[in-house]
Amino acid sequence: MGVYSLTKSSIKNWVKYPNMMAGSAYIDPASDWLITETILGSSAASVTFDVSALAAQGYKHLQIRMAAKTLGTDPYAQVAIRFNGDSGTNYSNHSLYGNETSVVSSNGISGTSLYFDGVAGGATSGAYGAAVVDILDFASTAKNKTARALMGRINQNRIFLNSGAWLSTSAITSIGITDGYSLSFAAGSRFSLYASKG
Amino acid sequence: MPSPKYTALANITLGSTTSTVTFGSIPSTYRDLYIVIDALGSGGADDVVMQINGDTTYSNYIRTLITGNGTSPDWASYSGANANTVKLTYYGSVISAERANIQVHVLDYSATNKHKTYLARANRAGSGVDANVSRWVNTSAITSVLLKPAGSSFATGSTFTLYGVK
Repeated sequence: MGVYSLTKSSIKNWVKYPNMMAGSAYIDPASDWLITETILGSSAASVTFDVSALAAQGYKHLQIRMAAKTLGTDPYAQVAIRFNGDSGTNYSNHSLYGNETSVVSSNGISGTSLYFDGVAGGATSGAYGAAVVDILDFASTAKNKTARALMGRINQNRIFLNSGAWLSTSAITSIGITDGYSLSFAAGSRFSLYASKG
Repeated sequence: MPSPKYTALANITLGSTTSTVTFGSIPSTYRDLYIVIDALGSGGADDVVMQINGDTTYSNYIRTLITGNGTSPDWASYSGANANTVKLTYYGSVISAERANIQVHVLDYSATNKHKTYLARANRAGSGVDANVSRWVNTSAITSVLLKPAGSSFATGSTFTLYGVK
């Protein structure tokens, strides 16, 4: 049997690819990703997420999931969400919520943050509020930014459907979360940032 | 380094009428659980019950909800020895005539320093929409979740998916 060698010059239409994808587009096996998470080991006044690099990586929407409470002695608390450090009166929000006696609708305009009620105050040990906050098209420069949230707590029992807008067409590059009553978040509070490629 | 958000831990499609569906041996290695239900009931409108770690004591659960049925909004709050504390639905209940879609977010399900607060949305087009918040007053990690209609069964073709959320 003869031994033959194969050389580049003998290959028709030879193309060298830098990796095994061989020119094919990379396909993410998942469209939704955990980007980062903060679990407070001690109380903290704020949590900040830097999202400036996410748009370039192809992410289109953000989700923040929280299990949080504050150090206040009241059973209630709210988060104040601020984008890009903007402390101007550029935020509005609405909520539909149920308390233990009625269904209530409320709103706020020209606010200095998105005020989303529904996390827990510190009155009951072990009781943390729960929140799922979606921020859609966070990097679009053609739109004001819209957020929605499903939030609730069981001590001063409340279930909230919140929505809000940041009246700016700037891409969101950072998200700051504080307590709306200027208290600190308690140790054990958890804030997770997820991103979706649509 | 980003991690994939969702991992499907269990996916159940009923091949026959079934009174209970249980997700057991839930690993503690995720941050949240996300349950998606698309279900028919076996008869008339019936609420879906969720029980954690086999805990059937009503007073270990507390629940508040808002709901709408196309006529008016309504609310409810339950605690103590009340069977409604363990339910996920009001107008978004299961029925034989059409599917109900129910989504449950259980945050920090394995944390042993927190009671377990969970948020549920329940929707049925011919009935209404619900939003619930519930708290299981227990700091144990969740290892199993049982789902059942309060007084009937889930019908064939009902689907139940459990996701772990990183």
